[in-house]
Amino acid sequence: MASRDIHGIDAPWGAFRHVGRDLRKVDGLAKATGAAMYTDDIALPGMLHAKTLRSPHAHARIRSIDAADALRLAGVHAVITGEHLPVTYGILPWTQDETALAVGKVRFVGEPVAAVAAVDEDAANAALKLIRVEYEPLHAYLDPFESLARHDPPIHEGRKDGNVSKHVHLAFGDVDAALAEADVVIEDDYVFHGTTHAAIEPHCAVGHYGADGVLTVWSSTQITHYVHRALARVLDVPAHRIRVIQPCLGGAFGGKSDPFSLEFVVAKLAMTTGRPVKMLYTREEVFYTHRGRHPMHMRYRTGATREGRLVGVDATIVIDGGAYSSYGLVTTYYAGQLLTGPYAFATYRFDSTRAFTNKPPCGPKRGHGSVQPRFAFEVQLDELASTLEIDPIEIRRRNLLGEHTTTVNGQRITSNGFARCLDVVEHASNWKTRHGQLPFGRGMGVAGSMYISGTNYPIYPNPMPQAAVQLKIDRSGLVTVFTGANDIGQGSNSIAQYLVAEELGLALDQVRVVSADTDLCPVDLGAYSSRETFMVGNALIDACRKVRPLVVRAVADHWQVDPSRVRFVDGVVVELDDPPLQPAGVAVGGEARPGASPPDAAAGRRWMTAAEAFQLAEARFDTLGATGAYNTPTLGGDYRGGTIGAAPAYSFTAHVVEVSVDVETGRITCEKVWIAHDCGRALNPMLVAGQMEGSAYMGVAEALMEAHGVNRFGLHAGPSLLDYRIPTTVDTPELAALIVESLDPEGPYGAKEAGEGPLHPAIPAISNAVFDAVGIRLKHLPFTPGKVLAALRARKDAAAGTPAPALAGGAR
Amino acid sequence: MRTAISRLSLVEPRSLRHALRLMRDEAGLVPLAGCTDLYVALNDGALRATRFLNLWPIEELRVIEPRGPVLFIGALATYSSLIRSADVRRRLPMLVSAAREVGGRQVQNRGTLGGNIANGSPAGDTLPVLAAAEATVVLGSATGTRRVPFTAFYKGYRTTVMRADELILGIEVPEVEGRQWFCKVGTRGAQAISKVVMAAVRAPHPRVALGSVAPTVVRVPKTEAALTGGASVDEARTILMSEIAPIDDIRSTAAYRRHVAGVLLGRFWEQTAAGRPVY
Amino acid sequence: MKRGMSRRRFMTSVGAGVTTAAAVAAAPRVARGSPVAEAGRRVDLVLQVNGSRRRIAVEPRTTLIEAIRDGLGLTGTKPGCERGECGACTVLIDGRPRYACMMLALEAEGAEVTTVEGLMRGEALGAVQQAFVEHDAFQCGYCTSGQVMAVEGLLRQHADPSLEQIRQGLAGNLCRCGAYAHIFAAAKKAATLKGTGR
Repeated sequence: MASRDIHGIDAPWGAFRHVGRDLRKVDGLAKATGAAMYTDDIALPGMLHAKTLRSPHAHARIRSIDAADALRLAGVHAVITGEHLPVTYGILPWTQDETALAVGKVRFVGEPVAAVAAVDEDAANAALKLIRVEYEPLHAYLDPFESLARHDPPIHEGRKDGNVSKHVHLAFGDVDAALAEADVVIEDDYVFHGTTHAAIEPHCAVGHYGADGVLTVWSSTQITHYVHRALARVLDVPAHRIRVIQPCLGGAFGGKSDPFSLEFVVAKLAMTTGRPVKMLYTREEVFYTHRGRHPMHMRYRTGATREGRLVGVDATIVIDGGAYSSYGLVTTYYAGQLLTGPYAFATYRFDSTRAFTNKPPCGPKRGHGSVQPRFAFEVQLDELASTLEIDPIEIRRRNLLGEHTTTVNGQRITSNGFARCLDVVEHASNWKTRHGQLPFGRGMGVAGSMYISGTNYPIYPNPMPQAAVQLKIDRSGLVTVFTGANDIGQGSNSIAQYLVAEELGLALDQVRVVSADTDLCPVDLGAYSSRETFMVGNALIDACRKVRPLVVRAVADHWQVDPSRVRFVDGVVVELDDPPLQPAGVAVGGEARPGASPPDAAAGRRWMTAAEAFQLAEARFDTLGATGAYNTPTLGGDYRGGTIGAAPAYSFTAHVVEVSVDVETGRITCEKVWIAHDCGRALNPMLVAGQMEGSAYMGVAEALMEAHGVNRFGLHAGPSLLDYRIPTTVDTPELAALIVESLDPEGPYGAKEAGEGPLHPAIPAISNAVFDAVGIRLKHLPFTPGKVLAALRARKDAAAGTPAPALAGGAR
Repeated sequence: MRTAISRLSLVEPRSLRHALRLMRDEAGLVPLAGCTDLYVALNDGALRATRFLNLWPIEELRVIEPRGPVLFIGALATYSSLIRSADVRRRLPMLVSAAREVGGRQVQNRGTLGGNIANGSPAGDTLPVLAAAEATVVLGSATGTRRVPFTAFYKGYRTTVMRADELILGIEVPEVEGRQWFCKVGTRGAQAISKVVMAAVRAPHPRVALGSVAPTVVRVPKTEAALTGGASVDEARTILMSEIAPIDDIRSTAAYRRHVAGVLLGRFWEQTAAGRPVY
Repeated sequence: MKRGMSRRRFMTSVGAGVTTAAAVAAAPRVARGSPVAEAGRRVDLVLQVNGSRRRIAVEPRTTLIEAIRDGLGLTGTKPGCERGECGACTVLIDGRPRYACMMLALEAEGAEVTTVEGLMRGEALGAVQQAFVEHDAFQCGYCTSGQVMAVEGLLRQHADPSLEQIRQGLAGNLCRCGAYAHIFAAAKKAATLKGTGR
């Protein structure tokens, strides 16, 4: 199948002109000048504003809803409740357990119950106050262990497994025997608290129902295609009469990768009122919408030989899922499936259970499902190193998985730059002379990780391409790229521009990108699982290599030369000397414009502009265009769930972190993070570095600052950016982004992901650095000053021979 | 915003005298200035008032100047103007430190000292400074002016001795003798709510004030007496930890606050010891 | 915005009487002679925005960010929290950075308001904008307008800020993409472009 072609890692014209350079992003000017259009910037004539009434109860039956008074309020155009949107949906076809507005029951504080469309937000807010909802409160499950122990009343009725959202048990090899024979076994419990995305742009959607019967929804989504499908299902409108557009998007991090209530609500209200309808969530509502990182309670047993070689890993994980499934099925698999690198496991077993609770639903956040187990395991590995008196970097080296191999759970590994990542952070941080040798209160820690670069799991199983693009070749010299990919700030539109300009030998401004519009663009599954660069990149190369030969042939025939003597460089077509010069030798600067005269022209070599070449080709072959696609090869282990976590390539990361610990106040300061990340090939090193820094920043914040929790009534503890503490400029440590390139054989020019993997090691590396600094092992996140003080006291007491008190779990 | 703000009215006074008359004549009129707390309350739907008196344009309340033996700081002095004021820098450097801890630049350019006092949060960053400096609050009304010692200004959690018709005109700070010290342990490096905030003066009679450890900002007389009497800092710390009454909330725990208050006392004492530089 | 409301000018000059029109449900007790912006009423206002006088009708409660975005159509200024916590709505008021979500439009009368759009000189980018593009000082771009304005305000106060001054000066602007290091570099570069930095 063409879409599975491997395109190789080499430059299409001999040497890279754009790839590998610190190029500006396509939307840079628009963003720096404030001209970029985000969803809330859209204002349509006659537009109404909508607001959501939310549940004050964590778990309750809805006895009645009376909206009569609200409807009578001046300025109110419509009120809808669950009965108007009763069809269930969910991101995964197997777990469609959500409705846009609660039907019969509410399952968390902040769940949408009703929505109002009015002339302005004030009128809509006033109307919300007039809607009377009668609730019958039910027992609220706030603890996943309680959810698993009892389920009367259940959170979701009609399930045969009570409050269990998903259970996965997989074993590879005889773990029990391996651990029994191990020289040393470390066993402990680890807790990962919940965190959320907190993108600065709140969710926003605008619905418009046209006179032509076409429903258009603009939404701040990272998954246009899935929103398209979900709208068709819930609204009972044929998909071909729905258009979904993602305008410029103000941050997502996984938090905009479900279909959300507001998308259905603005669509329904637009259809009901005949007016365009906008809904912008307040910051508080964003916290209720959540889909953030799952809290996990993890027990790990790791066995090793005296030399530090891993012989067996055994994990039991309880996952707090919140009220709905979201991506939970995948999360439950990922919690186990993604741990089997960058170290070789001889045997492995995991048992993970996701429980429903009456809290805002959890979902995918940057490093979906694997950040939590990675934290536990890398801390355990560090403990193994100190127990065996092996240097923490050395123990990681002794267990390297290697490249072009298969993991214990059957995942195919291609390129692997992890060994070099370890070398790079070790060298850059002066690890050898500093780890274990800094004064008390200061320390260094290391951790590694592996992450998927795309997934072969297309969410709804189908044999169609996972990524597809279309090129329009214009006689003006412009190439327009149509891609369903969602640029969420990671720069996927920019990467598309660079790759097409590289493949077709054009200047950057000869390539424009139209993205994430379901009417215009071929389907791409969206910005999740770090799939855009890898999959869309391959689809783009595929498309370019279909159309390029036509243009080259048209020029070659025109000049009556062999096609191998036709070269495209920055929008100019030149005839190469015989023997051909390296195209890099053609002195056309990066700023060259089509029509500019190459210096060599005077020497008699023939040349023309790309526009002229396109015209020759168009005259010869008719209208020029091409589609391109990508699908993963058949991947994964031959067992139920074996394809979940199977990726066409994996990225690798190592961090060294330096911390200081104030033993009086218990405050940990992360001083610096050295981030070495194997991204295959850095298509734009500046963008890759930005992703690495942003990932590490987020990891540090999850370790030290952020907590997404509820109080004993299930009410969010602090739904604001004051109390959900994301780092300011003065909280962010120095970040050193150290790019490692492994040139993956199947990635576009060898590229792999860079946006999620580099988050993982930050959290365990901080714990490991604190151990180096003050000798305590922090295993419960977040690492608050209270927990540090309690651990220091416990250590002191243990040294004095008195029994150590339990960690103060709730200490802040 | 949760508050249906289209119901809100804004009254613009022509002068300070006019503002005081409006306060006298209309019950329920809420003064506003920098709005950095008020807007949050509006956003939360926690504010019932519907009519507001805009004090922001009243220039005479922005004054910062020595007046005889005291430094007068007008209620509308912003945190930025405190940071920039040569008089405040010279006479009350701990207030500059506190002002720098408030929000980011945008809030510092907008929030006012009078607002911090009127809002009366036990976590207000400048309040321990005013308590330790033995400042006096100058209150104005249509009938005249009265002065209240800052330490007697709060009656309880977010309640003050102000009458409904009064406005805060400013504060008067006497000459502070001794080394001034300020430290905030917050929830993050900037834009933070304090877990514990402390201002103190190292003088023959040391003065120590803390925020976020009780329903109001507090002085700790027993601790001060112990220090005055020559107790060791360890002894004083023990007294301090029993003298304050912090609570558990989203920002910290009572136990942690008590502990850190003790740590800060030790640091104050160590860092203001003779021979150490005064900032 | 409410439709059909009176556009009478209620922010009258000192001493002018105020009529409480019939549309007000319960005529509130108002000190005589006091200029009052009444609830639900539009007030005509002249704002000095980006160097030009802009006439706009607002309600008294209208915040500056609403006036800028909805009234003047300058959508570069972004809402992120509407309670002074994120900094995405940062504009300059008389050259100093302020949150547009935390002041009323009425209060901006008489002040020079500068938004991100106002840093352009025709087609040319402002120095800060130019530096942001060159240093990839944004990812999603949503906080960017606010960051640009905070840097602009900083440079107007400190022509050649140190890294620490930059960090402190931008502490009121959250970037969730974690692009801070790039933003710091852009701020340094902008000082150079303005000819004020080293």
